[in-house]
Amino acid sequence: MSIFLFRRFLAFLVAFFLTSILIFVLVRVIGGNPATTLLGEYSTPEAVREIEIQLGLDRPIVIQYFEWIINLCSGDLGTSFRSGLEVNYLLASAIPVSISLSIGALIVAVLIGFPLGIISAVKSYRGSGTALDFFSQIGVAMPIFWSGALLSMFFGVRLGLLPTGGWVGWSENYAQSLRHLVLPSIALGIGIGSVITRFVRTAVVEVMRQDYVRTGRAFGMSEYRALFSIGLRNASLPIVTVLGNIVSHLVGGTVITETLFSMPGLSRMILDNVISRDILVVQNLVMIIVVYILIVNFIVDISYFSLDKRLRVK
Amino acid sequence: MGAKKRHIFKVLALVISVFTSVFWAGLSSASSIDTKKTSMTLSMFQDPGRLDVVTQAATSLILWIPGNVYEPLVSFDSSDKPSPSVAKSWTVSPDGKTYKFEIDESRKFSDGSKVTAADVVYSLEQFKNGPILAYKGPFANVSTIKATKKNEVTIVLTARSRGFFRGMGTMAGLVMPASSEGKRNSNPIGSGPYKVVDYKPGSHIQFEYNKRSSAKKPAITSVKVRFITDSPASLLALRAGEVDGLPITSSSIWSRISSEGYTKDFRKILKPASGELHWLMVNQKLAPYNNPAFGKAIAKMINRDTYVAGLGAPKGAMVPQCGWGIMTARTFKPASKENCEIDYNPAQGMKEIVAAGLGDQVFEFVGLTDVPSLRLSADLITQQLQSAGLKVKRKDIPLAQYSSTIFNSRPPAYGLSLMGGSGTLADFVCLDQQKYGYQTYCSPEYTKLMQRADRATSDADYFKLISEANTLLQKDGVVIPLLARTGLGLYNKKLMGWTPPTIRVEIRLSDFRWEK
Repeated sequence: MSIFLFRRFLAFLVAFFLTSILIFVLVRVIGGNPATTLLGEYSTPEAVREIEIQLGLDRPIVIQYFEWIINLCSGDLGTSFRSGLEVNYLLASAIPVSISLSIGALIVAVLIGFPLGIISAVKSYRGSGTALDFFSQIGVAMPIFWSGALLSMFFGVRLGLLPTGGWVGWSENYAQSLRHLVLPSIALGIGIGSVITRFVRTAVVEVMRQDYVRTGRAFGMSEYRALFSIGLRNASLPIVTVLGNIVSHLVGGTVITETLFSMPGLSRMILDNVISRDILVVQNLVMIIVVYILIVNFIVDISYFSLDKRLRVK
Repeated sequence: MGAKKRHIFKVLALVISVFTSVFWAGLSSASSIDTKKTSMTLSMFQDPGRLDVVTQAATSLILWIPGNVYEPLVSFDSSDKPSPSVAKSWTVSPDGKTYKFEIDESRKFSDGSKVTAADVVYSLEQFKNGPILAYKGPFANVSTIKATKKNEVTIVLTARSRGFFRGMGTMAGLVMPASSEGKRNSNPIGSGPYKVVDYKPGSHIQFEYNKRSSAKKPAITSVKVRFITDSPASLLALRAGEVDGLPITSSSIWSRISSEGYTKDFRKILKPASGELHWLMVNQKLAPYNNPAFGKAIAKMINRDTYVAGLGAPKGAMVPQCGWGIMTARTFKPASKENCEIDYNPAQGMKEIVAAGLGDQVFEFVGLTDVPSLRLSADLITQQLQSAGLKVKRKDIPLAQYSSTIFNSRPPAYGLSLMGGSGTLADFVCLDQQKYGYQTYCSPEYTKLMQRADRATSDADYFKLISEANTLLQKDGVVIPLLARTGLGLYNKKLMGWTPPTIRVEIRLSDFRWEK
């Protein structure tokens, strides 16, 4: 176990440093002088130069990289060019929004994906199973901006039940935060839920064909009992991998959802700062997301290890 | 006797009816304001990122902070008539070179401190030495700014300048306390009718009535400006009643606004054609675009009416234009045979290109990938130029890349590009070729005309010279105005009081009120 963990941690560190170099280089390659962007197009070249010196952009690129990585590891994320505010302060207000949205979307996705996937698998050769399969395909194909706009129009404008966008902090008004979270979570969760449905269906159909399930049924177990008591544990391995990937890829979906529902989250902050070329904020935020994805993958590996006894034997 | 009585009765009836109508008119106007509703929520499609007006020139900031949190040294109305503001009076020396401003000591900033002459000097120095070129303009002829008494500021100029005094009613004249240094990004302090009580980047700015302001208490004392970056989402928020107004709408949703009945269900406000323009910029310093025949020929290939129609804006929201508005809408004139120096004649334009030996040349036309309102515009221009027979290669790049590269390279990058923004005639003044090397247009004749206009002693002379400069700009064919985007706002029908801006493009929240 400890060798396995050590290897995974080593891979984590290598991935961290390689991606940090990649991000540092890419952020500079995408073009745009942050000093000019900061001051506007009618700024004087002297003022631009002054800001470049102030931000350390005049120093050799290798020194800039090491300074950044040392500061990042020590928790000093610096100050945003654009806002003049500390990146830590910006993060403190954005992270709760993104975490809330991600958890909300995952809850919706799991609530949709698991039951529908299981029902679809059990009734795979019947009309209801085919219908569920069809709807899950629609769910996968449906873009978030479209489903989000429809939800806003129906629940926000037509019925007036839920806000069409915006955000209220948890500490300000708990109930209002929840109300603001419902539509974005559903919009983001539908697509993910449909993906889960399809993976759960495939995994369960595969397991239901196995000899041990057939044996269980021969001993008088019902289809569902055989599935829940024997099948699901074995079906869970590929599902855990998929869930890991989904959690990692949630970030992409949150960019659109946070923009569509005007939520001041992490993904929208990245987008805003990419547009304004606030490179320090962009590279720090992207690095935080990289670390998040690496941690999720690390957890998935450990889960896999604990679920699959064959790995422990090896 | 009977006739006399009748006469008295008639006079009495008249007096009573006049009194009654005046009474009712007063009563109805007073009662039409809903005094119970003292808050409103507006939407903005961009977060300014930081609230410092000295270092930040984004429209998303200028809309909210200058006219509400700060006050200028002198106020100007829509007809450019000055009135007291932070300065309660002023005197000008006979040669027009020395201004003395008497500061109104009764004014207080929102932090409770008194407005002093030292604060005024500090503020003006900030803009004079700040990084925003447009705000430095009014100080071009200023040699000293001094607090000569506790409540008096004396400003000495090297030459008479109309731009200086008018500038004291714009961004360059905003007054802030010296103690606000370093804090303005999130907590701007001024003497205006509102103060910022909460700014959450990416979410909102919350304004509350500044009780220390000497201005009359506004009908709406609490204003939230929500940042809704997705324009269709802002329309939904308006329809759902979550926001009460969209003071600025992106032209990318204008066709939806027309087709989905928003102009019927909400109050439509068209801002005066003073600032937001579209124009083509020909780089005078980059070959082969610097061939004088090129710009003039291009100007002949653009049909402004077709361009405006192609953008599909609601009626009156975009006006074809071939000259420039000057700060306010006073001098604005839509494009016509009389004021367009170069007529639309694409065949003639193409002939001139061929005659100049540029017939086989492929010209690069730069559009922007991430400004939706300019993408369609660039498509329309490309189409018109290609229809005329010009070989055009379209290049689309992000705004930030464009902004940073066009002015940083020598000569400035990009030969022909589409611009959109609050350009004024003063932006094309180029005093020194070396110092202003990043400008795509630098004409000594034009600069001289603008300088003479700045020193003009009468309005008539001023407008005559400005108009000559305008004509020269058109004839040079380097800056080709296309349209004036008047700007379209949508408000709840009961929300009244929008007034035209006087500082730059600000929205004065204190003028708004709810009607019953």
